[in-house]
Amino acid sequence: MKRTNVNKIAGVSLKIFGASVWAGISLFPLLFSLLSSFKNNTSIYRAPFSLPEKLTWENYRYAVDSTILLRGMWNSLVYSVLAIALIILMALLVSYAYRIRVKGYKFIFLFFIAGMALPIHAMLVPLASIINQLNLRNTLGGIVCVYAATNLSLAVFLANGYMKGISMELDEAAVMDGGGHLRILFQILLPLMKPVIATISIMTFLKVYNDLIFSMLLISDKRKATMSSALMAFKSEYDINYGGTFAAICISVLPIILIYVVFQKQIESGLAAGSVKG
Amino acid sequence: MKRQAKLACLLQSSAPRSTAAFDTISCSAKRGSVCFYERRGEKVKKNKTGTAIILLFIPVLVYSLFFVYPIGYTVYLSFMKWNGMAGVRKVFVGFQNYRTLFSQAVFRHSLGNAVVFMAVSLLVIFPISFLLALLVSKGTKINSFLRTAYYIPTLLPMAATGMMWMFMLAYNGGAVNEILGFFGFPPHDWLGDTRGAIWVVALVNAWMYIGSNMLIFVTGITNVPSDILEAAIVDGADPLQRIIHITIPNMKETFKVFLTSAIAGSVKVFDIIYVMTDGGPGTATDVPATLMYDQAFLSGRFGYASSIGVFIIFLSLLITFALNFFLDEKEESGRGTEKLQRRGKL
Repeated sequence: MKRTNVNKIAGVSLKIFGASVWAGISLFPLLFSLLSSFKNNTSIYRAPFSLPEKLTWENYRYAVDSTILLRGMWNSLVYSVLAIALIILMALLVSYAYRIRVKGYKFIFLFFIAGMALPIHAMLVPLASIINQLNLRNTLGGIVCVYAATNLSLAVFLANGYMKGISMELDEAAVMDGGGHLRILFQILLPLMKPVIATISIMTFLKVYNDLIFSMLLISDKRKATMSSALMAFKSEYDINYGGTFAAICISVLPIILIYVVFQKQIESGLAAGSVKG
Repeated sequence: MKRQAKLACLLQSSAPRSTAAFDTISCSAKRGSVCFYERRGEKVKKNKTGTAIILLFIPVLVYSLFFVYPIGYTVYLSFMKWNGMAGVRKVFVGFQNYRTLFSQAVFRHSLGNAVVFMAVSLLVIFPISFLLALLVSKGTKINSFLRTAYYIPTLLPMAATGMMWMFMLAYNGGAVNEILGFFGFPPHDWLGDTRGAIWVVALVNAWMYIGSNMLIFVTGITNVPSDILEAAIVDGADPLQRIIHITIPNMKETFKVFLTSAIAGSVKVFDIIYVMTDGGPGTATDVPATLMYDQAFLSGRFGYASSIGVFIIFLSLLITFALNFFLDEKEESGRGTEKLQRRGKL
């Protein structure tokens, strides 16, 4: 009896140890950035772990006032919201076409979810030239459509799965009342699909807000740059202002962390559902 | 299939024993709108194609133009010699680009780097995220906090993560060297070392994705039927035995998802290299996707770059299908998708 107790205590402490070590490793870079964001270059360089001599917001002032960071964050937010709206509209339309069994609905569904298996990076080369040909470089419409197209597959997959679970009797009742397709879709099915729409929105937001490559490729105008491009601009400067960069990193990740804390449940379920996507 | 036919039929589900007459009434009740439901066997089809076009016009346009067409165009370009200028003619060169591709040491080296990412996925991401998932799978408050902590690295924008780590791994004044120095280790130029840099970047990548894989494993663990676990407890199996004999065998599907996405994902790595090393020092940390990017947008070899793109598509599809095929053992076809659908329902 005594030995099992000792084993149990050893097991529990091992668990606590492992869990806290990884929590430390996970959070360390962020905490380190937070610490460094209050220090100047020399202090970061000389003594990375020293506490800031005095609490100064100078680096934050620099990141906000002298760089395009806030502008980039705002742009990323706008692109995300528009892409989410477009994706939800398209995902609903495709799922509804599946629901009413239009001709070739199975093929259409496969066509739309095929994107989950295709690597987006492999189409960067022609995408750049297509965007140029269509005169969509540096335009809101261009980048939003690209975001919507590249993130559509998972949304269709989730929306269709959810819509399948909604009883057909609702549609039938609506038909009896003389409702057309659009009414059934937007007035009856849409309100019922709020949970999956929330999941799709958040998954898309995380993808688009964090996107780096498309914004580097499709946007060259500084005023239209995204959050990631704005961050990368810090790196390419000749004389890197480390304190300012750390402050910028802290500012840019703040919205993401807030959103995660608020929507933890949706994100976790969305991730589980979307884990098929590599 | 039967279920679908049942759902598809307007009357079958609302009034199972309805008559054909009632069917007509319901159709006309819609006052001119299209009747789009089928009865089992006989189709009541009026203008369904028109509806389909209206519903699918925008999705097909956007998805095709900005996703499917570029992918197809990559294949086309891979047989051409072209410098990317709109006015310049594309010259057909057959398989020349592919021949060049496989003869180049840089490309073979980039494949080797992709293999490093695979190795780190299997040797680092897999064990750590599975162990963490076992630790935090029970839904207590403290576990929920820990899950958040573990998941935060995955959430952060790659640009931010890459830069944070770049600064922390710096030779002079970087936090990592500072910590190692405290324990008496000499400083090391983590990202400047031609041999080791790719491992360092792959480990940073692992740091990011352990959180999301942990969550996937947590879902897998919570889906293990509790009655089997209870039976094992009654039989006196200790926790370790329960994990080995019950949890792990019941998580095959989850492991399959992990393997597929980890291995296929290693072929597509781009962002983290682009942010942290940009392929450097020299071409030591180039992966196929960064090589493609440089060849197109820095060297203006669009045709050659496209052949790398096609190779990435081909390899990741091949890996996905091969793994699905080999890991699917005894499951009858179709059940896999059913499962995914169910998971999709949340």
